[in-house]
Amino acid sequence: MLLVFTVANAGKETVTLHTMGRTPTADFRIADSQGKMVWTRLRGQTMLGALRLFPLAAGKSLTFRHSWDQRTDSGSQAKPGDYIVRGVLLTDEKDGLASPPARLRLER
Amino acid sequence: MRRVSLFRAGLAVFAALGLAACQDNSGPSAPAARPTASAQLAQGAEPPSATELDRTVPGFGGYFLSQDGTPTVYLVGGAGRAPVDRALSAYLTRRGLTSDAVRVLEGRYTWRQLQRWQTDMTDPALSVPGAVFVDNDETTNRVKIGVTDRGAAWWLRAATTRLGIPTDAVVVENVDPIVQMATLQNVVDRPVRAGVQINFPGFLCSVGFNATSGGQQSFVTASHCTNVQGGVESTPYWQPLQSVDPTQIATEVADPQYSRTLPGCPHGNKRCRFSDASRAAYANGANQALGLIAATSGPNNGSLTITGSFTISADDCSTIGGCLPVGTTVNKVGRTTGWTQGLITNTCVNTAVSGSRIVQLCQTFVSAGVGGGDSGSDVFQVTGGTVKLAGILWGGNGAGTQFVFSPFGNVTSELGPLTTH
Repeated sequence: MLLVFTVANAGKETVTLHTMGRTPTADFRIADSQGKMVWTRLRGQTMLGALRLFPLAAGKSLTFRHSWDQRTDSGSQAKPGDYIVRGVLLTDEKDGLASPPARLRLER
Repeated sequence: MRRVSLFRAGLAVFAALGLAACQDNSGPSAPAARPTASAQLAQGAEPPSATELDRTVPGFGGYFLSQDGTPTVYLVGGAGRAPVDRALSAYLTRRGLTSDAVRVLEGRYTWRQLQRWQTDMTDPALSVPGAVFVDNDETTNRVKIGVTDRGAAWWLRAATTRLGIPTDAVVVENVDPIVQMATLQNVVDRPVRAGVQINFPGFLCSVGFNATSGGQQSFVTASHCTNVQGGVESTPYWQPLQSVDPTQIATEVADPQYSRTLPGCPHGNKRCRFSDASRAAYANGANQALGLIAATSGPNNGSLTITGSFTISADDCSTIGGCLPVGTTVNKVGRTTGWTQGLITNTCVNTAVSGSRIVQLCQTFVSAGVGGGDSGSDVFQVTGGTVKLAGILWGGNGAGTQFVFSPFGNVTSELGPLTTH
């Protein structure tokens, strides 16, 4: 399953994003319908802690893609059911810049 | 294949997530999109600006919400309220109110007059010792000047008369002085302490610790807090920002290359070092606050306001991997998450850096808060009255709950002997 996360500047002026690391990095996080995290793209990884001043011109966007193999962080196949997906741009804010939740359903 | 997208409005930047999945009964599928509220939030959510009201409402003297939340407008004598009702209708509707909810007060001066007098008075008023601010005060329909010293009032009255401003259009009020809180992010710190923000082209990081090497007064920060990680490119540094203080404070002078041949470096195309550390020499040695780390009010409380300093009195050992065992409590001070504290959970970890070919050998993991911009932060142990320098923070996990640092011994093995206090 392809996950696509887009951060776009819908304003009329350039916005400077504060992104963690040397290059902008996004996480994808999938929780079950109870809100329990089942998979996180960056789980266990170590990111550089510099803060990049990333200018995003008006009308421009940053797009991140990742293919989820429907396995959980423990490596097991995700069970059928409803899941909530978010994309999160890592910034200097604690919760980063997160997308609204998207729902998906895995069926047998 | 089908695709769903959900959108969220932001001030200027918004983030959206799309899913694409094969749509068959045996595989995963995505439900229909459920668009959320978006750009229409902008229209009518806020009242018109004072400039807009001034343009559309004859006799407009100011707009504010009273203490009980009532929308209140000043109109100078004789002006009708119908234009006010029209100008505020979208905003009132959005709040579930009608024009009856608006209170109209009789003003003496128009907002435009007060704006002009505020501009005229700013320079002479703020030249008077004890003057704090000059405001077009929409709650009183007057220009308000705040002073800490009542003695300033005479000078201000004289300036008002000289400028031809009606005496009763200006109110002088005693107020407390306004003090800017110095934070790890905004302080122009001279001499420069560890923990405060530094800026190099396109990036922000934190000062690690001050150090003298071969008589050269310097600070240590992360290797990736240079123009190129590994190798010296004479990266320039400003503090806190080039736009705040354009005088360059330091230049990168030491940053060893990453190597494929270090003992323990994985085969293949990996490149390794024992520390993510570099050294920058101060342009003016007097700017070095040797041994000092900026302190906030307490660990793990989120504060970035500087309240004092730690004084380094010892360094960790010079052994690769350091001498602080798992379970030791250590601290860091950095520009993004301030002073955080937690336990060492792992030592001498060979650590792959996400999204790169770099492996940092024999690093230390700590269960404590971290965020983008904390790179380069000093890591230290506090026991009794002793502050022992432990190393340089360079990374963390995506959740911001674990940081990774290069132990002091790793740093000196690559940058050479350093005097830190």
